[in-house]
Amino acid sequence: MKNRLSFLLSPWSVLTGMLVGIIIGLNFTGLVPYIEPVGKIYLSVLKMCVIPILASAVVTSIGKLVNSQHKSSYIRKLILVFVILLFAISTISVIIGVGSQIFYDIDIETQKTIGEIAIDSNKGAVEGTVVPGTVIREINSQINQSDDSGQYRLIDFIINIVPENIFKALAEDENLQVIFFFLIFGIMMKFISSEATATIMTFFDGVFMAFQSLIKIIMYLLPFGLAALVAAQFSQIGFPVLISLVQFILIIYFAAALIFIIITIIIWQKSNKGYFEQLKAVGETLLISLGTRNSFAAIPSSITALSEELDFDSDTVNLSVPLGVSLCRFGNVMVFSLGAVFASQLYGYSLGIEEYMIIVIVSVLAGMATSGAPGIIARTMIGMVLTPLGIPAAAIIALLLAIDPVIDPITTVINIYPNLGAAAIIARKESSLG
Amino acid sequence: MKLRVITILLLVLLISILINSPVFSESSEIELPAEMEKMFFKNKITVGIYSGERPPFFMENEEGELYGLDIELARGIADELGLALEINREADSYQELFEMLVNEEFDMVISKFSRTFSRSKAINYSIPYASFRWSLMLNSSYAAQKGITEYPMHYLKEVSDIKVGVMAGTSWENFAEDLFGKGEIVGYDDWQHVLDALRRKEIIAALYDENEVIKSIYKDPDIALFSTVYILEDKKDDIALAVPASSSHFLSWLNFYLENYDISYTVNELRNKFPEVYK
Repeated sequence: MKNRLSFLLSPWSVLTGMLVGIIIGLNFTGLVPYIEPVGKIYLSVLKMCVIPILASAVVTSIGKLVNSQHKSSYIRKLILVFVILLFAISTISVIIGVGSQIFYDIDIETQKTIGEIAIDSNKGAVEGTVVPGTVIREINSQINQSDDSGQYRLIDFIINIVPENIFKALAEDENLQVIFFFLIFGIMMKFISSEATATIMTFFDGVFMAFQSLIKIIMYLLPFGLAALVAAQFSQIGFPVLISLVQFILIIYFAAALIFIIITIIIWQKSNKGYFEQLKAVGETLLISLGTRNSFAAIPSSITALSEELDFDSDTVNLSVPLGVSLCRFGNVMVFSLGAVFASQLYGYSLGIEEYMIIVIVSVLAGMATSGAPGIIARTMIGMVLTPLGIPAAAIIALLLAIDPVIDPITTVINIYPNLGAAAIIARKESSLG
Repeated sequence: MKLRVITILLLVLLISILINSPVFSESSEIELPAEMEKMFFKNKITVGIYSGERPPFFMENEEGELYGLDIELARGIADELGLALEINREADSYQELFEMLVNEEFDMVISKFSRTFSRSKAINYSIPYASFRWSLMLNSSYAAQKGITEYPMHYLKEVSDIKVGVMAGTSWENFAEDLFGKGEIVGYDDWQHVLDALRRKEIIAALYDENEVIKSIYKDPDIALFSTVYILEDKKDDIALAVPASSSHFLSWLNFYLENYDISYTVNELRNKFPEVYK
């Protein structure tokens, strides 16, 4: 693979690309319209590869698993690792949230800023979309005319996992439904003839390899693609309103940094590689998730990093990474836990150990529920955590939406990175799936 | 002698010609309705305005001069009639303002005066020149604890142990009673006191017009943290000009004036016209 262009694959080149993007976005906004299309095309190519890779990875790994001997212990381990990680991240976030309260108070200026954001969230609402986090609403005094479509409940999440039409799910980027479909498809490998299984496996193996190869080729262009994407992002961020919210943003970044370090240590311990060597291997994945803010776009490179560069068992990686990224939104869990603790402080609620337990548990559920929901709705799901505590959600939802441009890159990283840790834990111990 | 008689006759003739000539007879030939006659006789129009301030309708600028939508409107009407404008601010309450109008101490009232059925019994209202919807503010902590996430009206109408704050001595006391039959209506002298009580959860809801609610929420955005604003789209508070019951002709003149210049404001239009009031 060594050639004259291989320097472009180095994380340093990618990082340089992002820095150039930041500089262009902040200082040379006139250039942004010219390079923005490059970023859009690059992101589209990345996303284009996601579903073929996701589908083929899940079908082949499940297909092999159901015909292997160790499947029940493997599945138990898979579920256990994800559940433990989810609750660990939620707990860490709550502890950080509570701990940070020692260092600062929410002053009246912060309250006013959040109030302004909440009022303005009405204006920001795109026509036709329901933003539940609004503090000014128009209603009829006699009859309830709202259709409650803004309410997203946990049960909707479960109902929505099952696609009624797989092509609709594919066309509408319903990744959870796509995963569900191919999981079932993979499980069916147990019930068909071995020749038929072999044909299907060969086909999906081919799809997988074809798109992984495409991903490898376009990785040479990653520094340029990210430069363009990042430039477009930075040209749109408005900072002034965020100054009095900087404490909350810093807490989120601090929690993310801590989770990042823990996961890095896990992968390092499990991979038997040097510390910097393994960081270099996952660097590309991290930079893609930072730059694209799209955790699915980082799936192909995660799989490559884990199975090719860190030598983890590819069948395990092929199953656990797509599954984890689709279902376990660790970054959203983190934001919900921190946001709920922040909300309790903002409203002057003193919480007991039971309430903190509720935050830990419901944040995990709400975080998982975001995987079936589109962008804005995902952030509003903090309402699920706040409602049982009796804390008003509207202002906090507006706050999360307002700081979204600033926290989205880091939450995307935390959405994907613990999945690499999970894969490392599961893969090492089950390296022979037979 | 004969000459004197002729002279007197000529004088009488001359005077009768002069009196009957178009130049002198115009004002007496077309008789104006009484209320118009009264204003033209004084050569001024007296407008009653409440002694306090109701931005952006009437308020004082830094130099202490009265300005605002109602002042502009009064001036425009006086100019159109070709009369001087006199503003009377002796009324220390809306009830007093109403009574003074009934007693015809003013020619009209332009004072963010709401149309109500009870006042309409004794005075005449024009068509509205501003219209606000009723706005209900609900303490959001209370709502969250009671599980009210979307539509609050069913809950608020059914429970009896709720307190709703309104401005004392205004029509809002009656409005609130109509809306929340079972709850307790608490009157406060000052809107700021209503907001403070809502923040402390002494009351769980407050009722006022869209304009005042929007004004206070922009002035103190932290209100948005502890309360949710529900604008009741089917309940309107119409602000209109008012004249004494006898001034039916002047009333039709005023309606014509408002229609002709298309004067009809919403909260958003007022926010654009007087941005300083909503900061």
